[in-house]
Amino acid sequence: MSQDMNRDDNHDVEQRLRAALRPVDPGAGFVGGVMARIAAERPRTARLPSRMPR
Amino acid sequence: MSADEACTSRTLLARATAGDAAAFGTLVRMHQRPVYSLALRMLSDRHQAEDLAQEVFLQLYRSLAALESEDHLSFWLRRVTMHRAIDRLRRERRYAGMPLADADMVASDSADADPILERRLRGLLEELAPAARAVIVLRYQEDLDPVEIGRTLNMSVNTVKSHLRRSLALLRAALAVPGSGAGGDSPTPPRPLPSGHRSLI
Repeated sequence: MSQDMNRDDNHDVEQRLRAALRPVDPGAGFVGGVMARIAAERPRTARLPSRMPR
Repeated sequence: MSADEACTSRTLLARATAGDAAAFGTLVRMHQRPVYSLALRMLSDRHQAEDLAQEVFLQLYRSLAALESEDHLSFWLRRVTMHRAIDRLRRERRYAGMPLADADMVASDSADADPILERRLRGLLEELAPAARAVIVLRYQEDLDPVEIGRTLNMSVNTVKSHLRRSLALLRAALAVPGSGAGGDSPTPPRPLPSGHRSLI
């Protein structure tokens, strides 16, 4: 009986965890921030886009 | 993911690998939500989470050629995000940022949502050791099974199951404050995790 109660309690906590951990979006400038960091890094790396004419 | 989405994703991955910045930007947009959310639930601070998530995508940009498929990409992103977050938490020990319980202002979109209890749960998660927290976040945010969690975190399935069992028991006990149980809206703060269990699981 106490095992059944534990199972019910766990189910309840699990449901609430799912609700508490709903995915959320970052701020509107997130993608721009990533691209800016990549652009800032480019001059320091030797990596060239593969489609760039050699 | 639908067949069309998988095809689009595959095409984008190929174009990004070939140096197409716009395709890479679209890939970032498609995956920003899970990556940022994992970072946020681990670090409990929006700015830190954005910074970490951007680092992950920067690392992705450098690693594009090594990725085999869209499935591999999702796995790779989760794995790198969680390992970076765990490293950061361990390095900083007790993170001093604004608690997620206060920082997270996301409105509930469900009629039976209980924002106060959800905030409490997120606050309690912050008391779990990084590895235990990572297991809970991957299980209940990403809906991964113990095998997938083990692969992501380099952990045995038994260790994952042990973390899940112990963390659930601790969370359940901590939520069982008289007068503030499940569904309650009392402002009573949650009982902290037993000190002997903090940072141990």
